[in-house]
Amino acid sequence: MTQSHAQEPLLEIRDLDVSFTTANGEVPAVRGANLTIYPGQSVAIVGESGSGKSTTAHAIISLLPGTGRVTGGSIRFEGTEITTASKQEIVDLRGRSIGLVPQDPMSNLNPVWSIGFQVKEALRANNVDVTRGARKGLESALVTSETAVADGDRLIGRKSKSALLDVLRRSLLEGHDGKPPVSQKTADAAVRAADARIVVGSTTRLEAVNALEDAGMATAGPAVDAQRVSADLDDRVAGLLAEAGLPDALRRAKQYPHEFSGGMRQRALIAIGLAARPKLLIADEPTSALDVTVQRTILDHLEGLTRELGTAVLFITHDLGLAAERAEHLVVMYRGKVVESGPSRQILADPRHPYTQRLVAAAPSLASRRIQSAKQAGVQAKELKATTGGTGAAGGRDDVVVVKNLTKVFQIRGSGKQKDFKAVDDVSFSLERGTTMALVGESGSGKSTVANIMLNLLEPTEGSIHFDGVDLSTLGSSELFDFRRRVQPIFQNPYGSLDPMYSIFRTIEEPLRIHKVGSKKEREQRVRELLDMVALPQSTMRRFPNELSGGQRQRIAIARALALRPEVIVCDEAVSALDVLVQAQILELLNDLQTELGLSYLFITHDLAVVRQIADRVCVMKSGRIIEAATTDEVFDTPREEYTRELLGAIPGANLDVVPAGLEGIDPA
Amino acid sequence: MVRYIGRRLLQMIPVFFGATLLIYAMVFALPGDPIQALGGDRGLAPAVADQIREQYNLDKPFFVQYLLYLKGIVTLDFGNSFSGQPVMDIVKRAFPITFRLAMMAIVFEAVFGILFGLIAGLRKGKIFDATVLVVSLLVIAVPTFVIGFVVQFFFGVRLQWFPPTVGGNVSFESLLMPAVVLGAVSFAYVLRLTRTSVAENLSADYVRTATAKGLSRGRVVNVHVLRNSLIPVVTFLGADLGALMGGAIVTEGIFNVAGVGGTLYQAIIRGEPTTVVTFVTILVVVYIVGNLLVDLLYAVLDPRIRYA
Amino acid sequence: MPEIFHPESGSPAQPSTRPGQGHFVADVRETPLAVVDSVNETEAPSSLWGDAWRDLRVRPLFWISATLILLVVVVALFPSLFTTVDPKFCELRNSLGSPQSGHPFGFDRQGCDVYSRVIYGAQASVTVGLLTTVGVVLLGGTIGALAGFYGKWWDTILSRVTDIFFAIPLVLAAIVVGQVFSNGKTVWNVVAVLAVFGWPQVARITRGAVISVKNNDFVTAAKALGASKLETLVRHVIPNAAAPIIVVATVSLGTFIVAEATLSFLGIGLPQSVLSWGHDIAAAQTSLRTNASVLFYPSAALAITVLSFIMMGDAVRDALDPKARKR
Repeated sequence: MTQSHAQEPLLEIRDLDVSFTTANGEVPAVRGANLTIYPGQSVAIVGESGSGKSTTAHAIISLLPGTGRVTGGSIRFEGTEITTASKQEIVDLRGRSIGLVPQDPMSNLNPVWSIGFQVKEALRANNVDVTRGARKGLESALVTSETAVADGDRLIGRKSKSALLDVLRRSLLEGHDGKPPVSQKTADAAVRAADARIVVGSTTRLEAVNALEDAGMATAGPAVDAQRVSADLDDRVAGLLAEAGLPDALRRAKQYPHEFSGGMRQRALIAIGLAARPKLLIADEPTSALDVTVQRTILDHLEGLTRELGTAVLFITHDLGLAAERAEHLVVMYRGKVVESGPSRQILADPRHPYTQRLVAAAPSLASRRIQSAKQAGVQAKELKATTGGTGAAGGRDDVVVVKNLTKVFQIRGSGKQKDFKAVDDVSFSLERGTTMALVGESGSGKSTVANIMLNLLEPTEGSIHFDGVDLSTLGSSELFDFRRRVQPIFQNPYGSLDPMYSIFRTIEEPLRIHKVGSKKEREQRVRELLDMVALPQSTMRRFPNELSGGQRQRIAIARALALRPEVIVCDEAVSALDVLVQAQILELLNDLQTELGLSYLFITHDLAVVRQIADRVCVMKSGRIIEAATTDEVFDTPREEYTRELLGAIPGANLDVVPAGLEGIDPA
Repeated sequence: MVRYIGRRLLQMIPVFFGATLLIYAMVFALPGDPIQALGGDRGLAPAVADQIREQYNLDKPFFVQYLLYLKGIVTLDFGNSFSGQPVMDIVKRAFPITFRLAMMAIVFEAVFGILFGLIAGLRKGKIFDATVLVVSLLVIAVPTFVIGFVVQFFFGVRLQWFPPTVGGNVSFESLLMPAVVLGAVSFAYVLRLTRTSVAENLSADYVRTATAKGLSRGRVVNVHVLRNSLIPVVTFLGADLGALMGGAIVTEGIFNVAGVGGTLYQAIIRGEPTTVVTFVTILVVVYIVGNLLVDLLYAVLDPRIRYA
Repeated sequence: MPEIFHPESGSPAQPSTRPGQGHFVADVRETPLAVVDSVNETEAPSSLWGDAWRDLRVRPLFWISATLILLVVVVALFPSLFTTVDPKFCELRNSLGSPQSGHPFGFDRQGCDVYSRVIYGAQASVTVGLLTTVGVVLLGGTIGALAGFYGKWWDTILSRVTDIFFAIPLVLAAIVVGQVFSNGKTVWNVVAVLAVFGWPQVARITRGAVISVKNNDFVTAAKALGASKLETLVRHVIPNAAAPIIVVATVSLGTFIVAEATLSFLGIGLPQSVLSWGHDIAAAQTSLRTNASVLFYPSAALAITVLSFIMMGDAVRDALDPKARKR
């Protein structure tokens, strides 16, 4: 932080109040928030859902949803007050001065327009000059060519590029400026290299000269000078998409959102956000819907791009690890208020507000980081994470589930013929009684298919599952019915896994009723017991799921799963949808129940950070196969596979060089 | 795209056969004897009745009757009515008129329904929205024949802006009033559908993103809200073509239009099964074609369909 | 208790931070920490239907339509409470007579009392509307639920059957079939005809609702608990898919009343002996120029009845809208 202190803030928020009008009157969403961002700086607002972080961000570009409005305080952008600006001034500000990268890549692109069209709109609306690159300064200074080129900052278009590549090939093959001709192979390689370096709509003429000269041309200046046609709108669109890290951008621009993966859509949204070269980019949970490795590459890319362009970034995130890693300044929000703000490292190392302390203690990514550094300091990891650990009894393990060579093939109807898709490919593992095994993988790795086979919701194509030594495929329907009692699921989405029409009592009682356990009175007693077990008041049983929070619903789901006294619980992303503090509580609850009842967990997750807090053993899955299986410590300390290392490296906050404050004296609940 | 259309066409085939079979069964196989009904209260001489039965294949087993009837449809030979007139002639006379009437009604309901629906959706909860909603509710609640009477009486008889009945004069002007009456109920549905759809799309994430890009409000509405909102409306309009032509009976009766409705009604009352079956079959075909058009238009409006 | 810094002053320990970016810690007294995730034990428990009811309760639209529906139903059940005049007692000398004491709406062409005929006409409309709706929901609901829940070839076949019935316009089919019943028609015939050709819409909506519900985790959870398919359908899927079906049923009730009136108007609906607004409106056509009120009263009665059901459907739809639900 050596920049001049004389610099004026880019964005200054003072005592901001935002309220929503509801049937019950004004409900404040943000109360007296303060925030300052300097040009080129990265700042993050961290908070749980409902903390007001997104509302604050939306207030900056006047995009408050529904009845929301600013009721007090000021937002100044480059010294101009936004809260009192006219509609036209706001429209001018959007895109051109302040860009937005929204949260959910799936719903933020209009499905009926091509990606290129949607990027083009952003250029057109802001009257961007598409013939010139806005990124100058540093970049131009680094260009080494001594050849002067007219309009060096103009961008290369499709036509110019192919013409220049032709010139390059011809000069190399024929020899020029005293250089001897080269072989066809050498020329091809040189053209390929230049082809990769010259990005249509992004590379400037000056950079093109460099690229051509690096590829072997003696002087490329005159050739570039000869190309008078510069980039058009389509070229620039492709250039922007390429800059956002989208491969094959010219062709991709013609495609529609549904043909893009989540990561690609997010890249397109970044291209849109940066299209008009805003001075501030608001990134609202830009990657929370994506796989960790994709998340990492996109964030790295965004960081590089904004640094190069000198764009300030305001991250809105629930992930303290991510925030600390990506931003120099942190603002922690809680219930509409800023509770703590300051330099990232300082907040991480020395959180002062009790809420921040809780957050630092609970964030899984940081917890995992803490375990690591604690281990380096010689402290036993067992004391920090709450896993029960395997009994490790002498004389062989007691495996409750043994999965052997499991394969599941789905038939997909594609272009007329049936295609086979191997979702699970020759998977074997065993789950020791009383322990937790995590099945980790990104979307499409087949981990949920394994879970569904375990729950007998899907038939395996090949392979077997032995439960307590009994092969499940040999069971008749009534034995299968009994088997259901012994393996129970907890699903990811706490909003979808409880029937909204059922009271909590009926929900927890349902398994007992289906399996005809006990009398009505006994069942009610059992429901009360279960509610106690998951630490919810007994009066909850008269309530309905829509009255409960996500964490409470997940407790109900756990109570329902426990009703039949199962031996194995399959947790399919059971804590992924929850806020960090609640997540920590549920993990703790699961750990306690394991110790108390001797349960075995198969823990399906995409989040390695959580794994460290709960699992004894880890299987890493990729494309349907288990590529690495070991104890949790082994996987974290000495990962054998490159992919595992990649996953570990992608945990937000994994590379922080600050050791976050520990749990001492802080009650995470 | 080709696969999508192919699949749609394949799905139409069972619908065509099923619907024609159903109609045929309804007209010919239900209790009651159309031939005996021909003779009115006196009845027909058995010999004459048998002859007519043979002529119309009514002496053959039901399924054979149906197949012969299908053969007639495919070769466009619909046979003669009991009065000896080729059914094809009746079709040629009646269908163009009703088709014109229905098209005018569709244009009316589409243009005004979408326009008012869009404005109402954009100003949800304001005065315009409330007014338009109340009017649309009234239009739905008041039966078409009452609207027809009132419109005919006021604009045709009192104010004399339009001819009160159409009769033999099927000009654009004379069909205007019947077309509005015919399209009135669908207009209200189109309006309500557009309104809901626009209001829903206005709060879509991609609309917020478009606004954040710096687009003007007008462009956001035209490019992002309207096009997406039209998808369900188009579905409704396509399916409505068949319904309007088939439902024109009342309107045509009130305004004395010699179209499908009037002819069909007469044919039913007089007990002309061949005419009835032919007319209803053509109406079903119109319905199916209308739906196919919707599917094509759908693919144009929504790229997700094209590659499904 | 941490030390309090002010945003402007910045933390003295960090002199290198820029103005406005010092280490700020809010006063804990101003931002008390709530217990993470506590259950609200004070409010009364509320089910989804309870929520919907609370929402409906404050909507004027609901009360207006509910009152009207109640009124119409009472009139239909006990017409004699509202008039002592026999609707079938007609004297030609009263033909098209103006309102007079005891005959507030005047007389029609046949000299019958219009008010009395409007009152007694309610029965036919309400009966046909209610019975047809029940039939349509049973038929369409079952077919749609089976197609949506069991999928695969069940869906293929049932959806095509739905398409077939959808392809034939309701009024047209009713005319064709109605003609066959021309002798000895009863209310039941009309109901049967309307129900047999009116179910596809309910079937389509049920199918869509069932498909969206069956993909929920709670359905999978029920399966994992060992509940049978049918049990899952009846206990979990159908109750959750009920909202859109109720809405469409309420609105179609109105449209079936219109359909009955249209058929009666065309002379192929209810037999002439049954009092029906459709018959009266048809008969009033010729009197429009001389005495418009003869047309007005039965039309208004019909419109108000239909309107009240449609408004009720709208109100219920808004109350059950998942987007409007809390959280």
